[in-house]
Amino acid sequence: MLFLGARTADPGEFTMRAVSNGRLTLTQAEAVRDLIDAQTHAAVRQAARQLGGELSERLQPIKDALLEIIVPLESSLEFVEDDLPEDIALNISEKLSLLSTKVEKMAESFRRGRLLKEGLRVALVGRPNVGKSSVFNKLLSSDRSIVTDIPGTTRDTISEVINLEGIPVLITDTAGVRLSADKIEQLGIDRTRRAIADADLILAVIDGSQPLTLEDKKIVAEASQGFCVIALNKSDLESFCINNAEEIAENLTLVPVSAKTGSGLEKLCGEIIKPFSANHLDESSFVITNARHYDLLRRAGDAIQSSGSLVRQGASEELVLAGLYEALRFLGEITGETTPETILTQIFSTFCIGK
Amino acid sequence: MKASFDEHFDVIVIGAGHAGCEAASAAARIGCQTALVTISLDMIGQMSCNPAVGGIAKGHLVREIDALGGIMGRVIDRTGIQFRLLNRSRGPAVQAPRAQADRALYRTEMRHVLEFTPNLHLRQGVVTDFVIENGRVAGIKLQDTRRLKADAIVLAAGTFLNGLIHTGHSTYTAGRAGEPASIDLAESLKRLGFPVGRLKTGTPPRLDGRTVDWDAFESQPADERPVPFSFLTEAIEQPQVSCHIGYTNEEVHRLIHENLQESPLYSGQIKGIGPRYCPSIEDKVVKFPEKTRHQLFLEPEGYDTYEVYLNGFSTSLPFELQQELVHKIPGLDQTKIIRPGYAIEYDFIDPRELTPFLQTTRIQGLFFAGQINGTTGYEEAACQGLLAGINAALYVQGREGFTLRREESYTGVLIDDLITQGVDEPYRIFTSRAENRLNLRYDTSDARLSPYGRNLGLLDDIEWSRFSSRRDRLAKIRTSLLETRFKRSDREYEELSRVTERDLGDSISLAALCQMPSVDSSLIFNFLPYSLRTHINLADLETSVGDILYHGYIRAQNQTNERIRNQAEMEIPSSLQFKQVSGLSHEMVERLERIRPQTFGQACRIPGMTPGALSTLLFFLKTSKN
Repeated sequence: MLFLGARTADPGEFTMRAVSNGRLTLTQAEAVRDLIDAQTHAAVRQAARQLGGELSERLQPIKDALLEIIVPLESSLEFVEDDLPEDIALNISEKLSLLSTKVEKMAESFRRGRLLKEGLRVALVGRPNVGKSSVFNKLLSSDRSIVTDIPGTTRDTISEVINLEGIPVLITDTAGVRLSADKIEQLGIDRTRRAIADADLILAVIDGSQPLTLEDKKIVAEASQGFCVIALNKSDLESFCINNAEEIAENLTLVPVSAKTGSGLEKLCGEIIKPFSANHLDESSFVITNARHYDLLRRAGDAIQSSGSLVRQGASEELVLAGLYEALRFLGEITGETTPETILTQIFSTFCIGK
Repeated sequence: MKASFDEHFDVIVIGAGHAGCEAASAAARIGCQTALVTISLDMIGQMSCNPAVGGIAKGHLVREIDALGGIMGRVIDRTGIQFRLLNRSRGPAVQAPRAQADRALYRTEMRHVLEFTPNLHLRQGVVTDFVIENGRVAGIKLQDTRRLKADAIVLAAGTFLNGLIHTGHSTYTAGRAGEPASIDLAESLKRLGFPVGRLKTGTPPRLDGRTVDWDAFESQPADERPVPFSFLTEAIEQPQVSCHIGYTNEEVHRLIHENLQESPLYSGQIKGIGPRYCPSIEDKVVKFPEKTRHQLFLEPEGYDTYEVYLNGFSTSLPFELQQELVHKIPGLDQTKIIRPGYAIEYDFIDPRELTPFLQTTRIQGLFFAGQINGTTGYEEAACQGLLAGINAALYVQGREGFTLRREESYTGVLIDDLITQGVDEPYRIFTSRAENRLNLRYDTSDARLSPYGRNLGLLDDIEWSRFSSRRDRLAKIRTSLLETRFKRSDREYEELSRVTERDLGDSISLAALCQMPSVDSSLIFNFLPYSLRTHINLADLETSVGDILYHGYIRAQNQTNERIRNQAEMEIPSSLQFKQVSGLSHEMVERLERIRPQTFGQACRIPGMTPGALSTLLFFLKTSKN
């Protein structure tokens, strides 16, 4: 939904107090909902983790680091007559950019979180007769754990879900919309383009038994704008030659396959899921699965970042702090509020304040 | 027992400290026959602790009191002997005025102001009990058997309720050093069922300034351009004096450590909780053992006295030890203590008992203000006194009560914090307690609050015309800042880009310059049209520059505040049990169940609902609707 331009609820609308009487926290309540919605094992594990309050735990060090910056800044404003250490607010700018990177990285894990819940969308593209449909069918048959038909999609739209490493993967064969008449062909190309635009990853199929055509090159160029894997098909033919694809940029992932014999299919599956698998994103495999959390983290990251740039511009502390409090509030909407009392308590335990 | 009353008033204010003076002055000026009853008429407006008014957030409060028509700002402007604007190098939202006072002059001036207030009657006496009729206050009883009648009573007893002074192992009952405590009145409050707690505060020794080696200390002069507290003060004209800064040393700390058992704070003799931000020297030494020195301020008590206040050295150690410790401070080795420091414990009443109008829920017509509500500080007391006095008068006149919102004032923040959160230590105001700090500047309190003061009748025609003309000047400056623009070809452009050391684009407005950290108001002043420059002062311009500096932040903050308010019309099902709303505290559930609001907007207006609780409720309403 977020990707269609929708925006999640505004801050404040959801501010939740930490529950002291033992009931579920908001984070936990949302995790329960995710648990019910979970489609695959990986998603279930992820949901179970947030139920344990892991997100709150993960955010705690970030909140602590934020407080460590806020406390000296606030002290220097509020206790100007006190004998505070001179180096009270050193390297604030670096600390802030480190922190915003952390928050943003956490927010970015939402991409995988969304994949766990909603599945990875793969568009299968390629010019006619390169063996797209054969690759498509082979991918389906090689996977014995087809999870479900996506509601509203049927075989004639040629979309199927397979399960790769616990992630539901929706594969759409764009060949299904391709007809011979010129005009309709144009329509087909438009649809192909749209499928490409919607996809998380493009699987481009190229006939490895022939030299690259202009159309192949165009398709590869378009596919390589995002995540893409190139299947060099027909590896079982004698005329197959890997050099046929030498004009394809080296940094693109190229897998020789044979839809006929199934050779290379396993490697292909591995390459498809690789950019989205847990260890590729974050060694800890912790991910944000809730759009509201993603939005809050992103806003927190933005707020920290803009405070950092205020520091570099030499702005007065109260302006820098305005952004930091905002970030604290966004994080607080996931983990529970930080009250002025908490901050004052930290100030008084850190510095000797008062006449 | 006498059946009738000796005198009849509309409002009686008990206690003539900083809360009581404001309360009495406000009630009288709103038109109520008001009696101000105090144990000693000679101690009206006495500063029990340090002889100073203002500071960060506290100075903001004084400005708010002044904007509403209170008197603290006017009195300190006439009796302040060292004015300083704190945080001058930072943004205007965190700047605040502070002034040392001539303690005796402050008292004299305060009494003078009160004596010249119509409808206000000073009475000396010790109040021992309330007269209650049908759950409402009807009057008070005095120790000398007098009975005074009133429909509303403001109790501003400070530290006098069951006050107990500690110096070393010796204790004695007192409201303040040298003045009797209020024992009977404290017992009367307990009888009425008020939940009473115990707090503690302390004060440092006062020194004989003739025996101080002043050269051993760093001098801290007053500002060259003193910024007054009151919007009505044109300029501070009395001579200004300096404070002096010095430090304790490790020898002092060692001696304190060796004698901790002598301190009632550490011997278990003191039960009350003291303020963390006014720690005694014993506390500082124990809690921060790594610090090799603690800062001290030598503050003059007035023009005509050699008494010096040793700020930063609050202590309840025995007198001999205090004297010994003072002698160990370089420059004070010959210095005599003329009044020892002491700690005082006193009763306070849980402020969650109060309505937003500072009226008790237990007894109608009874209002509490100041330290009795668990606060510390003259300014905190005064703003409560002002609001309590206003509300006592409005109550007597049968009018609707007056409150201030958190978003518009520190006074609103303070009262809301008190009545919703209660206190577990003496409560002091801080700018960080306000969600909208950038919008609560000391120099905008007139724009925020003076219209209320005028409506209440606390600002007279002359005062109001001063407010109006400043408002008009600010509007003109604002227009000029937004409209004055210099192109690359202009002579001014060259100078501006030289001063700011940056490329200013094809053209630059004065408003855009206001937002650059390196630009200050005195620079902007020179670029204003000549016709404007002759009509305004630098303070006016500073306010306008501040408005522009924070404009974007405040707009964003207002939008957030608006958003919640816009949900006001959402209906709350009549069948809803609030305890089923996950995340609401017991206290919030109780408040909601008592009122049973029908819309979210009504829930918002229930006194004491926290922003967090309202969001929780809103979230529940939204999700349960689907």
